[in-house]
Amino acid sequence: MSNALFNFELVTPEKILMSDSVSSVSVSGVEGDMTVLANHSPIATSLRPGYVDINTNVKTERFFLTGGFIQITSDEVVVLAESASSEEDLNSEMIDNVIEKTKSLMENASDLQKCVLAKKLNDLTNIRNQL
Amino acid sequence: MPNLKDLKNRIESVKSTRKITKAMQMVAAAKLRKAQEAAEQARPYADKMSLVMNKITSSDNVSSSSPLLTGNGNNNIHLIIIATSERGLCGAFNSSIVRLAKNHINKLKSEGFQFKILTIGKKGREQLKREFGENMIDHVDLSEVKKIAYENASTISDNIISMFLNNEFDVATIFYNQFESVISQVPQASQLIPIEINSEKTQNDNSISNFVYEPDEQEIIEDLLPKAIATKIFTALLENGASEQGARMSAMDNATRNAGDMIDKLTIQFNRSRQAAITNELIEIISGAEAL
Repeated sequence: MSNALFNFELVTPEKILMSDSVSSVSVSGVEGDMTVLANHSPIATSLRPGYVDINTNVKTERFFLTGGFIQITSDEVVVLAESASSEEDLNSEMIDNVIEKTKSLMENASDLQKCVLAKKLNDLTNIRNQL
Repeated sequence: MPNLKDLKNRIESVKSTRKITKAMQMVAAAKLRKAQEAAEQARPYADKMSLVMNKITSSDNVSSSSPLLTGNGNNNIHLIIIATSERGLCGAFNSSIVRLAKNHINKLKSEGFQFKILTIGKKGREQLKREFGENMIDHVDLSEVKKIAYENASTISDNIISMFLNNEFDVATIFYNQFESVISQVPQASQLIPIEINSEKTQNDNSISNFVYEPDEQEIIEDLLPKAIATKIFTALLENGASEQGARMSAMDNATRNAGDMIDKLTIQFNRSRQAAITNELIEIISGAEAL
């Protein structure tokens, strides 16, 4: 199956992890998972911890994100990830670290932030248990 | 006039100093390349982040009550974050940051504001300890960190944000060196809280209006603001890292050249004294022979 392609970038604070023409991208947004195909309408959403599946017509790639943000405009799709790791590098120890950090953040957060962090913690724990 | 042996020793010691500075220069050059690369690779994220922040904050639906964005209404206590290096021998790198920060502090002082200081990097702390020791609240030690990671920056920013939410300060500014080129690093101040967003670019961008936000702008902002601040700190640290190596490289280049000049001078002096000694001996021998 070959679909129309669009520009996709996966950017972490440290470097551009991927920049390619792809046919579909699946992310886990805070309001639910979604798959982006070409000519998607403009949308911006936060991402919860989870996997992002990228499908070019040649290959598929999967990364684990600890959270981030996706911005879809008419000409490109950009994922700003807090941190991303390929599936092989993923281990429960790493997620534990993130969980610890999130917990310590919660202590001083405002109510609205606490709400966001609690959701994040929940997602992280789920993924941790699935491993 | 120093005797020949002393001169010889001095020449030797300057030569070994030159070797050391030359080696340090080359190490700095290699590290500079890496630091520059790191700074360049981090740029897309920072750019995209500020673009997204611009778009969201300029949309009409934001009531923008977040204190990180608008401040907490006060302007009394300033937090001065000073990022310097962990090691010395890098020319005026540290003192130029410290000087800029001191000017800023003195201005705040004369206007009657309170201030607190947080230092990143040992060298800045050492220079400020005597004068502002009682205002220093915290120090971040990065001496064990070989390569600055986003983690380092986000830890610092989480720390700062929680201090802010506890009303320990009202305005935060970070001081660091912006890397321009190997020979020029410009000390800079950048305001972290409330965060500065340059809204020039967004004006003529029509794609903003029809954006759909999930969940809503307010929640996204709450989520993004801490990241934006961490990104700012991260950028500052990386720029600082590249500047440090650049400054060290040119400082060591200077030192190597000076050592070379010194060796030339000492060698001339050495040759002259040797010639003088030989001439002296010859005169003695000749006058001795004439006396016979």
